[in-house]
Amino acid sequence: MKQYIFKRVLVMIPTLFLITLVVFVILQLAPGKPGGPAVVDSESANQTQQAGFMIFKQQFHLDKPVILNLRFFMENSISIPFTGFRIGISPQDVEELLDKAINTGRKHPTKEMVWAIEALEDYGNSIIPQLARLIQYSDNPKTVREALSIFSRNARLPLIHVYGKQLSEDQRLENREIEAENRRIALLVYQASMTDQEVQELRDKVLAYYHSVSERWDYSFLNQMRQVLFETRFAYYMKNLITLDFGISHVDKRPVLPKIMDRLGYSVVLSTLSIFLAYLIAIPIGIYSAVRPKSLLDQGLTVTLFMLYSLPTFFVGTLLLFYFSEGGEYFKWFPTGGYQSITAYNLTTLERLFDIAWHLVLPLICLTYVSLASISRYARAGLMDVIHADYVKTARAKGLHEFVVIFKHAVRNGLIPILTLLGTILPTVVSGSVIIEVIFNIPGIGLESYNAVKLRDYNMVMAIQLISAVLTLIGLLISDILYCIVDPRISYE
Amino acid sequence: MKKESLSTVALRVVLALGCLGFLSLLTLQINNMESRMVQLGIQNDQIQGNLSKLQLSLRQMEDRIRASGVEARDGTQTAARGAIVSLNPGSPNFLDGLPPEPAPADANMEGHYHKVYGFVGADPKGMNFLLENAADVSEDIREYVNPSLGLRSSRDPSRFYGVLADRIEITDDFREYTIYLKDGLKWHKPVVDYSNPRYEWLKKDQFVTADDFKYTIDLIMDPMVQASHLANYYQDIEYVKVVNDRVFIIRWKKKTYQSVNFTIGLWPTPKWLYANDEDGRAFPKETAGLKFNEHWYNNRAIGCGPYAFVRWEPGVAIVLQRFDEWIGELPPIKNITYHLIQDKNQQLLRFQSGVLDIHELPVSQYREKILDSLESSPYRNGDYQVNSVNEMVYRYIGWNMDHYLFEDKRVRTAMTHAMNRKQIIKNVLHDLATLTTGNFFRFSPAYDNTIVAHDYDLGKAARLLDEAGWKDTDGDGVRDKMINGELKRFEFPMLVYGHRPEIRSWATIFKEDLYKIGVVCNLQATEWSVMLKKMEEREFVSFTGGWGLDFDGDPYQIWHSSQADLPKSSNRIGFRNKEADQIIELLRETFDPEERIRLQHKFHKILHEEQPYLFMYSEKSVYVNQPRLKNVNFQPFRPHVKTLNWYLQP
Repeated sequence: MKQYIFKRVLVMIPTLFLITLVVFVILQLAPGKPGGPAVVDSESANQTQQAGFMIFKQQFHLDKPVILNLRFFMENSISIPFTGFRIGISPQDVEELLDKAINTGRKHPTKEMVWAIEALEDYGNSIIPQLARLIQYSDNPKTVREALSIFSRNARLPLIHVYGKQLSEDQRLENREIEAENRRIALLVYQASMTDQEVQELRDKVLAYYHSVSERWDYSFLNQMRQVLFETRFAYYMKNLITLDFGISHVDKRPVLPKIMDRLGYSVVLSTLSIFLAYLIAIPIGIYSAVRPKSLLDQGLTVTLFMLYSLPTFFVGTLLLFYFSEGGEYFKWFPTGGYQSITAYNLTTLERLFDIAWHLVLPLICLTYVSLASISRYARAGLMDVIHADYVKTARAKGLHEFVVIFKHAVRNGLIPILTLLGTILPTVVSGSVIIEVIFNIPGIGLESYNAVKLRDYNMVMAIQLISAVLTLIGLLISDILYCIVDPRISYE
Repeated sequence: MKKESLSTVALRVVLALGCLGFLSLLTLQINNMESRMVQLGIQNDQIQGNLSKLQLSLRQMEDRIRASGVEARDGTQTAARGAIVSLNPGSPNFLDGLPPEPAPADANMEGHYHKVYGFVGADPKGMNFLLENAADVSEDIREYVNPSLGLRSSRDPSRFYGVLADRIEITDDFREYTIYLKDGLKWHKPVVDYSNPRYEWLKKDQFVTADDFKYTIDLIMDPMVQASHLANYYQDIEYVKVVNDRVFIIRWKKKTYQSVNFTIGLWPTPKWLYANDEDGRAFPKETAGLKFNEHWYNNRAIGCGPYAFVRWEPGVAIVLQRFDEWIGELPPIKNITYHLIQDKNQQLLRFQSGVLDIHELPVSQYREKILDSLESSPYRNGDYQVNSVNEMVYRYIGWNMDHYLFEDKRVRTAMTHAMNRKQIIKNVLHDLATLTTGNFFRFSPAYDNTIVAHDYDLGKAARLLDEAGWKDTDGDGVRDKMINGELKRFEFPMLVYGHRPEIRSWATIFKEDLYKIGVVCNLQATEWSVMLKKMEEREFVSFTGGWGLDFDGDPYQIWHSSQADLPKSSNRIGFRNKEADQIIELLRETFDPEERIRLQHKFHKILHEEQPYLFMYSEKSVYVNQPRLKNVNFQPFRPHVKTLNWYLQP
C-alpha cells in the first residue's frame, strides 16, 4: 500500500507539470492582455505611455515569448511553415518590421502596424545587434533613421527588481551600474527633426556604444540553448512555482497567495457545510428509496428532486431573497446578504457564530438543493445493487431485524460508490460558486477568480487553477485509498 | 455483544450530561467575559467620541474668538495664519469661486452614512491615488480623503474655490502658477498597529508641505511608476519650484487651457510615507519607482482631507471617518461606509432593508419600482426620496471613416436619419436620457442648443444613400455599389459593448430599421478587452461607445487629426478635418470664456455637419435615498454625489 501511494505521488509530479503547461499556454493565448498602467476596463482609457508600459512588461516578463525563445541573431532566419514561428531574427526581418511599424505613407494604423510595433517593443534588447547592423551597413537612409529611432528605446536595460524583497548589496551595485548605462543610452535619442548631418553624428555615437558592449550578444552554443529554454514566460513562472511562489498579481502588485487565502475561508465554510448538509439529507432519502423502490413516496421524491435539480440557482436565489430577506417584501426573516453583519466586530464569538449561521441559511439552501438529486440517486443505485445480494438474504434468513439487515449489512457495502464521489468533490470546496457569491454578496474565491479572468490577471488565475488541480489529484488518491480501507477485497498490490 | 449493566449505563449518561453542562457553563462564562470586553470597547469609543466633540467645540470657540478680533493665547501662530506675502503683488487670486453652501448649523454631527462603492461595486485594485485609475477611487474616495488644491464651484462651474490652497496666482501668459497652501494642513495618521514597535517611526505628526506636491509630479513623470494615465496630463510641465513650505510654482512649457484644470486638480503625496519601506528605511534611489508600485501601504489610503481612511475589508466594505483636525468646514456625517456589492438586485434589497442610505436605480429597476409600481409603493408615496441627475457622458455609434462604407458624409447622415432616437429615449430608456448632437456636455454652455437634431426619416435616409451611389442593382434587397470594379454590398458588422442591456436593445432596433432601407447590420456583442484590441488595430467598421466628459472638455484627444494616425489613440474613427483642427488648437490657447463658447459652438457645428459619430444621448441617473438623509443635493459635474454638506437625522 505504501509503495502504491508513493508511486501515485510520484506520477503526480509530471501530471502537474503538464497541467501547468497546458493551462499556462491556453491562458496566454486567450485574446486580451493584462492591463498595464493605462489599459483599463473603461471607455476613457488614454494613450499608453510607451516607456512605462515597456517597464511594466519587462517586470512581469510579458515581453518574452511563451515557451520557446528563438530570438537570437541569425544571418538568415528560418521560418517554420504553417506555424508562423521563426527560428532566429535576421537584420532583414528587423528591417521589414521597421517598415511596417514606422511607415508614415500609410493612411491609418492597421493590425499589421500595431503588431509590428508591439513585436519591436517585445524583442527589446535581443535585436540590438540586428539594429546595429542596419545602422552600420544599410545604404537606405530611411532604414537608418527608423533603426535609430528605436535603438535607444530597446537598448535600455531593465533594473534588477524582485517584488516584495529587499535587494542585496551586490544587486544594488549592479542596479547603479545599469542606471548609469541607461543614462548613457538616454543620450542617444533620435528625433525626427534631425538633419542628415546630425543623424550621421548620432549614428557614430550609437555604433561606438554598441561596439563597447557588443560582447553581450556573443553567445556560446550552450548559452544560446539556455536562452532558448529559460528566457521565456513559462520558464520564469516555473522557476517561481518550484519554490511554491505563485507570483505577484499584475493588478495590485501584491502576492497572489495571501489574496487567495483571504477569500478562501468564506468559500470553504460555505461549500463544506453545503456538502455535509447534502449528504445528511440525500443519503437517508436514497436509502428509503432503495428499500421501498417504486413506492409512492420514492416516486414523489424522485420527481421533486429532479424538479429542484432543474431550477437554476440564480433564479431560486433571487426568489429566496425576494420572499425571505429583510429587503424583500414578504417574510423578513433572514439578512439580505453578506457573510456576517457589517458590525460583526462588536459581537462575541458565540454571537458571531449565530450571526454567520443566520446569514448563511439562504445561500446554503441554494447551494444544497441542486446536489440532492444526484447524491440520493447514487445512494439509491448503490444500495439497490446489494440489497438483493445473497449475504443480505442470509442476514434476513438468520432472522435479524429488518433495520439491522439494512443498516448493518446492506448500507455499509452499498454506499461505497458515495465515498468515491466525496473524493472528487474536494476541488469544489475551493472553487466556490460565482453565482451564489454574486447574488448573496459573499466575498468568496469564486467571485475573485471571475474578476481575475476579466482583468487577465494571469498569476491569480494560474494559482487558483493549480490549487484546484492539486486538490483534484489528491481527492482522487484519497478516494482510492478509502476504497481500499472500507473494502478489504480491493488491493493495489 | 456484551450487555452492560443498567448502573454503568446510567453512570455514563450522568457523566456525559455533566461534561456537557460544564462545557456550556464554560462557553457562557467566556461569552459573558467577551461581551463585557466588547461593551468596554464601545464605551471607550464613546469616550473618545465625546473627547473629539469637546475638541471640536473648543476649536469652534477659538475660531469665534479669533473672528471677534481678540488675540488667542498663542498669538504668534494666529498672526501667521492666513497672512501670506504674495510673490506677484497686484495679481488677483484665481480661486475666486464660491464653495458649496455649508450644512445648517444645527445639523447632526454624528451620523453614519452607507452607500454602495462605485458603479460596479467590485473591489478597487488598491488605495494609492496615483496608481488607481478607476473613477471610484480616483474621484470619489480621493476627494474625501485627499482633495486637490481647488475644486470647481457647483454654484458657478466656470470658477474654482480653494480647498488645500488659499490662493493661486497665474501670470498673464497662463504658464506660471504660484500656489499658496493653507496653513496647518495635517496628514492623517497611517492606519497601522501602533502597539508594534516596528511602526514607531510613523507616530510623529506630519504636515503637508509644498514638497509633497512636487513629489506627486516627480512620481507621475517617473516611467517606472505606473501612473502613465496621469503622465499624459502633466508631461507639459516645465518645472516645479518649491519656494518655501507653503508656496510653490508650477511652470508649463506652453500656454494651454488644460493646464488650469490639471494644476488646480493636483493633490499632495506624502513623501515621508511612500519613499520608505515598512521599517522606515528609504528605498534605493534607482528602484524607488518600482517599489512605489508595490508599496506596503498601497492597500490603505492616506491623505489630508476631511475624511480619514479607517479600513478596507476586501469584498465587504471600505470605511472612512471624519478627520476632526481638518482645517476646512467639517462635514456633518461622521462615518462613511462604502459597501462592496456587485449585484444590482442585492444593492436594491440592501437599500430596501434600510442598510443603505442611497441607491442608484438602473433603467430596469427604475421601470419596475417607479414607472410600473402602485401609488402606494414607498418609491411613489414619498417614503423614499427620488432625484435624477444628468450624467456627464454621451453614448454614440462610431463609424470607421477610413472604411469604404462610411467615408461619405451622406452615408453617415443617412445612418443618423435611420436611428429613431426620440422613440428609443422614450421607450427603451424611459426618458432617462437627453438627445445629444455633439461632443460637449449636453448642459454646459459649450453645447450649442440652436443645432436641430436630424429627425428620424427612413425616406430621407434612403434618398441620401441613393445620392451616395448605394442602390440595389442586383435586386437582392440589399444596396450595393461598384467600388474599384468590385460589387460591394452594404453590409457591415457593429461591435456592441455587451455590458449594458439598453445598448443591446437600441442596437437591435437600429438594425431592424436599417434592414427596411436595404442595409444589413450584423451586431456583435463584445467584451471590452476584445473590443479595445479590435479598435486599436482598426479592425472594425462601427462600434457603440460611451465617453465620460469633463465640464470643459478638451476635444484634442478624440478629434484632432494628428491623433488619427497614431496607433492606440482615441481618434479611432480616423476623423480628419482642417477647420476642426484649427479650432481645437485655438481652444487650447483661448482663456476668454465668451470666445471659448463661440469656438466650441463652431466645433459642434462641424461635427453636426460631418456626422463622424452618430451621437445618441446623454444619460440621467436616478438616485433614491432614505428620508433620514437630509440636505441631499447633487453636483452638476462628477462626482455627482458629494456628501460634504449632507447630514443624517438621528
